Amino acid sequence: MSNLLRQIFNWAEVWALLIPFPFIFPLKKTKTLRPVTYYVFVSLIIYLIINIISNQKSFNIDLHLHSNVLIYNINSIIRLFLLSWYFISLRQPFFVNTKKVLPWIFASFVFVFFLFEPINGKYLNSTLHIVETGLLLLYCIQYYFFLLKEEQPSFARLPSFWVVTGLSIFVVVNFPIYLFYDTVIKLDTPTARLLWDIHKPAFIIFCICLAKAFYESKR
Amino acid sequence: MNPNADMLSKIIIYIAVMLLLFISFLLALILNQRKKIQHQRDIEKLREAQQNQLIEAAVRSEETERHRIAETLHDEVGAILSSSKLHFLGIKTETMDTKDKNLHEKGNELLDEAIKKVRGISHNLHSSILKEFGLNEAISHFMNSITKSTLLKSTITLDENYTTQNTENDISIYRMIQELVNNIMKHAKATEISITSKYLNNELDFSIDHDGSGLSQSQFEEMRFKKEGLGLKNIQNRIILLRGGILFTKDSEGNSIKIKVPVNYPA
Repeated sequence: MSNLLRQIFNWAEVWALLIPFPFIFPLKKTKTLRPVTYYVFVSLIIYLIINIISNQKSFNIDLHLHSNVLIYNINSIIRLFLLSWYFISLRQPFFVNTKKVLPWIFASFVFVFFLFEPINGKYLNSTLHIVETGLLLLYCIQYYFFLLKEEQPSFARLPSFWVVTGLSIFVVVNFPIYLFYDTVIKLDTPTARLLWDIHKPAFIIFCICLAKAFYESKR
Repeated sequence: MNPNADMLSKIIIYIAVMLLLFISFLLALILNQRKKIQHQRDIEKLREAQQNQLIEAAVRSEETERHRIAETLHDEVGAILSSSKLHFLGIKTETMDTKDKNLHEKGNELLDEAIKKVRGISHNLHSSILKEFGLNEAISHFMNSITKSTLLKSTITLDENYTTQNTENDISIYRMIQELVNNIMKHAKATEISITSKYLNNELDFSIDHDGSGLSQSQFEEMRFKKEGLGLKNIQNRIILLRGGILFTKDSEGNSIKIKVPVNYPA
C-alpha cells in the first residue's frame, strides 16, 4: 500500500498537470492564458518522458538515455520561454524587452553547459535552475507591485493572479532547494532525493492554482 | 548531529521562512487592496449622498416655486379675475343694444373660462389635494381633470391599501405621473391610457399603459440627456431621490411605463 502511494507521489509531476485539464477547454475561452496552456501541454509530455526515463528499469525498457537531467533543463528553458511570453502578454510595462531577451540568454547558457557536460550526466546543475527560479521570482514580484497600483475590484477573479500566485509558491519552495542542491548531493544522494519530496507538493499547488486560473478566465 | 539531517532541516527552515515571507507579502497585498476598495466605496457613497442632496434641493426648490406660482395665480390673478367678474356683472345690460349684449355675454364667458383655467392651473401646481386627500385621490383628480375636455379615455385602478407615509415622497410620485401623462398626451398621441398601482411589501408599483407611440428604455436613457428632455431628466432625478426604478417598454401590444418606489424610504 505504502509502495503504491509512493509510486503515485513519484508520478505527481505528471498527474498534477492533469488537474487544470478540465478547465482548459474550450481553448477559445481561455485565450488570454495561451502561453500557460502550452506550458501545461508541453510539461505534461516532458514530465511523462522524465518519469519514464527514471523508471525504465521497472518498465523493462532501455532508452539509452539514463539520465533525465537534460530533459529537466529543456523543461526549464521551455518554462522560462512560455512564462516570459505570459508575463509580456500581461501588458505590464516593466522590462518588456528584458523579458524577451532573458530566455534566449538562459537557453544559450544551458547550451554552453551541455557542450562541456555529458548528456547522461548524473546530477542536475543547480546553478542553471537557481537562475531560472530567480528570474521567475523577479517576474512574480514585479507582477505584484504592478497589481498594487492597479484598481482591481477583486484579485480572486483575476486569472493572472492565480497563475502568478501558484508560480510564486512553486519558485519560493524551489529556490532554496536548488540553492543547496549541490552541497547536499556532495554529502548524500538519498537526502538530495528527499528534497524532491518537498518540490512535488509545491508543483501540485502550482497546478491547482493553474486550474483556478483557467476556471476564472472562463467566467 | 548528522550533517545531512542538519542540512535538510536548514533547507526546510529556509523554505518555511521564504514561504512565510511570501504569504505575509500576499496578505499585505490583499489587505491593501481591500482598504483601497473600502476607500473607493466611501468616496462613491459620499458622491452619491452629495448628488442626492443636490437632486433633493433641486426638486424641493422646484416644488416651492410651483407653490409660489400656484398661490400667486390663485390669490392675485384669481382675485383680480373674480373682482373683474363682479364689476362685469355690475354693468347694466338692459340699455345695451343686441351687439353690445352679445359682446358682454362673450366677455362674461371668457372671464368665466379664465377663472376656471387659473383655478385649474393653480390646483395642478399646488399639491393641496394630495396633502389633504392622499396620493390616490390626487392622481384620480388629475386624470379626471385632464380627460374631461379631451377625447382621451382613461382607466384608473389604484391600490386602496396604500396610505401616505411620506408626503414629500408622494409629491414626487405625483409629479412624475403628471409629467408622464402630460408627455403621453403631448407626444405619444394616445387615445387610451390606464394607470394601475399595487402596494406590496412596502413597495408601491405603478404601471402606466397607453396605445400611443411610446418610448423604449434606451430612447428614454438617450432623451433624458438632451436639452429638450428636461421633464424626463426631472423624472429620473425624482427616481434617484426616491431610490426607485423606472422601466419603459414598447412592443406591438402597446406601451408601458413601470415605476417602482420603496415608500418607507425617508426623503
